Amino acid sequence: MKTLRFGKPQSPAELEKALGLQKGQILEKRTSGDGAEVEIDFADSVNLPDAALEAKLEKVLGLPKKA
Amino acid sequence: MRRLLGGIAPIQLAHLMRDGNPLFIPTNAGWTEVLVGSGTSNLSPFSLDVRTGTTASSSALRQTQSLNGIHPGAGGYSAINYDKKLLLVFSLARANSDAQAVGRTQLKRAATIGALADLGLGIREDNLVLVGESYGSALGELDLGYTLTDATPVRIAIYHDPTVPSIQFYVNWVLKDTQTTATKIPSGVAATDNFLVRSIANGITGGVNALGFLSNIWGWIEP
Repeated sequence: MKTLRFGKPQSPAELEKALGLQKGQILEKRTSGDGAEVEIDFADSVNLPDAALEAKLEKVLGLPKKA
Repeated sequence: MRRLLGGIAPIQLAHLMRDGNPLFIPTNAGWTEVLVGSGTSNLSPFSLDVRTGTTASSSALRQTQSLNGIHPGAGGYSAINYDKKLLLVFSLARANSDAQAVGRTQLKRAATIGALADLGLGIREDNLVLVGESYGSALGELDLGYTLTDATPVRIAIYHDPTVPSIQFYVNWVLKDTQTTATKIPSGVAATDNFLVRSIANGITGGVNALGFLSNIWGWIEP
């Protein structure tokens, strides 16, 4: 038997790993009470293009980018 | 030893239920989460927890939405009238001692982590040591002379009486200290958004996943 465990990254540290960022590049992650909205502050040192970062986030978080 | 209900004559159960606004604040949903570093948090029907994780300079915070309707008739939909009596009761606990960890449970006019800087009151945990916090126009801090036992909840009661004025801090229904400096006691109407906030932050060393719990929250506000 094999058991696999899945879940969204919760802490900024876990999210950095999932996105391939360096430690400390996510400054703060804020999630609304209903979980429908996530807001993330990134350090200026993140050098991914916005589109690439947004695509990765949509995949990892399972949420579409909001305007 | 002084018992809460025996020690405060006007605040008796019948009066609480008949003449006041009882508050019952659930923890299972609706609390906004703010995380830094390895911070995480969880909600459940009876309690919520905030955790620093082991990375240095991490924090976790859970805040209610604005406490809309908490105090009918007082200057706005989300206002708290600190010229009325207020009793706030909750259980809290800490697990995993970390000398640099600071936890807080606050009723405040801000949703940010850290010490009170506006009208409010609450409890701070300097690692496992309890401190009563309050703010009118200056920060009040009272060492409650109580050290938590790891992973063992205590019942906190904070009673604000503006007619004295005073704020009494109870641990397990025993009065531990009373704030009587007027500048350190909230007064007037806090007309803008008010929140209940539970947070924990570690320091520059890290290495310990410091946990803070908050559960079984209720209260009473004089009409």
